[in-house]
Amino acid sequence: MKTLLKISWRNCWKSPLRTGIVIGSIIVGIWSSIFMMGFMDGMMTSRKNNVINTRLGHIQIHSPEYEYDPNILNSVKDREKVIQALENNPHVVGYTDRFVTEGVLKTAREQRGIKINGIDVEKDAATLLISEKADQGSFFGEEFKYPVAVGDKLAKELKLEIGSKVSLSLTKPDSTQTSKNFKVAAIYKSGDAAYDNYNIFVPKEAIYKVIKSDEPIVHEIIVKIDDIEKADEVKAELLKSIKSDEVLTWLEADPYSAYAEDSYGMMMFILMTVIIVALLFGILNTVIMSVLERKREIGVLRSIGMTKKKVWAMITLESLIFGLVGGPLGILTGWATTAYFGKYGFDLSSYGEAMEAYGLDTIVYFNIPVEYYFIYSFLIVIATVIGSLIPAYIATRVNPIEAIRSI
Amino acid sequence: MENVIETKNLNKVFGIGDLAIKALDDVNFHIQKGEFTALVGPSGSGKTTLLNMIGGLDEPTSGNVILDGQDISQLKKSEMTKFRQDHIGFVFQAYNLIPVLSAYENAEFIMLLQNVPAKERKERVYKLLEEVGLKGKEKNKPGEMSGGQQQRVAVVRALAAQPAYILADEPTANLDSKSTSDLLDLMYRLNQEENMTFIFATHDQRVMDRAKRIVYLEDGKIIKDEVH
Ligand SMILES: Nc1ncnc2c1ncn2[C@@H]1O[C@H](COP(=O)(O)OP(=O)(O)OP(=O)(O)O)[C@@H](O)[C@H]1O
Ligand SMILES: [Mg+2]
Repeated sequence: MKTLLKISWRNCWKSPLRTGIVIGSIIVGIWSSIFMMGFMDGMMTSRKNNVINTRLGHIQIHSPEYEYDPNILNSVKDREKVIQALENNPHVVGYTDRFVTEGVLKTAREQRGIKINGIDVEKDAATLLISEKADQGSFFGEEFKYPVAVGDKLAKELKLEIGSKVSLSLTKPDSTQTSKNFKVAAIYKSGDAAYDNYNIFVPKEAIYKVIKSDEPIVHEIIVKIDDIEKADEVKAELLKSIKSDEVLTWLEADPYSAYAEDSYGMMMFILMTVIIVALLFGILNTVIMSVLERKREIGVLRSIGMTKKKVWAMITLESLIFGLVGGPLGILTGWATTAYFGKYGFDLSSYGEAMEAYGLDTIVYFNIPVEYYFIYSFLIVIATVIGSLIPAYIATRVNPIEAIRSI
Repeated sequence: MENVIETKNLNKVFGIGDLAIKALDDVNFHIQKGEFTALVGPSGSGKTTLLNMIGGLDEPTSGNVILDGQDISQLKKSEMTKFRQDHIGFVFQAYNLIPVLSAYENAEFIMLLQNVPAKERKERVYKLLEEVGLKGKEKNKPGEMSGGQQQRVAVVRALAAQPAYILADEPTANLDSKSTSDLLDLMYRLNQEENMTFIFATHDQRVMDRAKRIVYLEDGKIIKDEVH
């Protein structure tokens, strides 16, 4: 067996260039796919965190009808109960309740359908990061009685500046229309252009004055908990006491995040499969060539009494060497690269605008769930073994008489 | 004297119908221990075919082959492989050696397959390599040796495994006359000193000159069998 290994090993390195290229491409292939996976996961995590921290929180509570009909009347049914449940839950680190309704924003020249978010300024700031995203102005100072925060892109399109006057129209609970002039107090940029273009923020009290409501109507309660992994668990606990309202985790509230999580796993497997197939063919091609070149040698070995099994082992070892040298090196370099960019981040600031449009940060911190390394290594081993079967089979089919006759 | 090789009414036909070629035609043939025999005959006369039969590499169309007392038609393919390993030594015209192994490693190869202990392998290989004049070449790869030296390593490999006999199909075909006579001297000496049985197929007059017995083949038949 030692000698077989010696033969295989030396045969592998008989043409160092060929072997170098094959092993090199295995390493580069695996490395680059891990790089891609780390990058994709980093982007996704970055987007997810951004979405959670600025918009979604970990858990959202609405009236059951709100999701299908975000009407002013479909407010949270039992706010007292919800607040009580939140206060009593040890995992809840903060929550903010919002008045949310659709309305129209008008300037002297134009008008836009928008979503009005009436926020509790203090609680909101303690729960989400949106109020920190003000590019100009702030959420909200004392200078305006009816202040509004608009998105950066909307402000640009409507030529709004700090202090610009806009009129907001909305439907009151009694189904009559009302409108009121607000002044732009902040221009914000959450990192998600589509969201920014549609959502405007006003203090909750201001909106209550506009609709002349004494009761605190809220449509959305956004909750932050201490551990994102516990979202489902906390939801279940909350549902024990919250009966008349709907509780959603961030994943349920944002279909895109759920889709991204799913498709990420899918993409990883496609990527791994592509690389593995390439690796398989690389090994196959090289070892089959090597076997065909050595038909006479193999014929002689069979004649002098080398069994098929040993020939099989000799060629299998040769294939395994490619996979088992290239594979771990690829995984290792990939892992090291991912660890490095996981710690120091991968700077994409030159693509900043495009990134922000998708709700992404310009510095991507690579991340790959550990199990992917195991899955990948496992797949590489499988592919290498499969890749070794065919050349080994060809080698055992060598007919000694024919091989010798061609000498 | 015991027969190490015996064929009975041996026939070998290649192909079928009109295209059939009778490569061996009712060959009855014996080789005894310690013989030094040359198989000669024109090209296509069946020398290689006969060697393949008595080397257990090919199966006869009809007839029997008894090698070292064993009727090989009784053996399964895998048993036949093992039988060759233990009983038959081979020296081919070329490509005998594993290019990536040294002379020493090539020489001990069959013994490795036979699981001969390391110490014994080493003793036999060193002794034989010295005997064939390859002392100091143990670490050389085949590519670093002349054709004659490579053939001598092949003889050492065959011999070290202690076979019942050694078959050599045109072992000198690729050698110059000096290497040819060196190789023949060597085999002749091994035949004399160790009583090793050698059977060659050859076209080479120099080989025939050294043979103790010459078997002439034509169209698959033995037409003459003479002892010198
Ligand atoms: N595998 C095969 N298929 C068909 N015909 C074969 C096969 N092997 C040998 N033959 C035929 O059998 C006959 C004997 O061939 P063999 O190789 O034994 O001759 P030889 O005496 O060794 O010739 P040479 O001196 O050229 O080596 C030839 O006619 C050859 O063409
Ligand atoms: Mg021949």
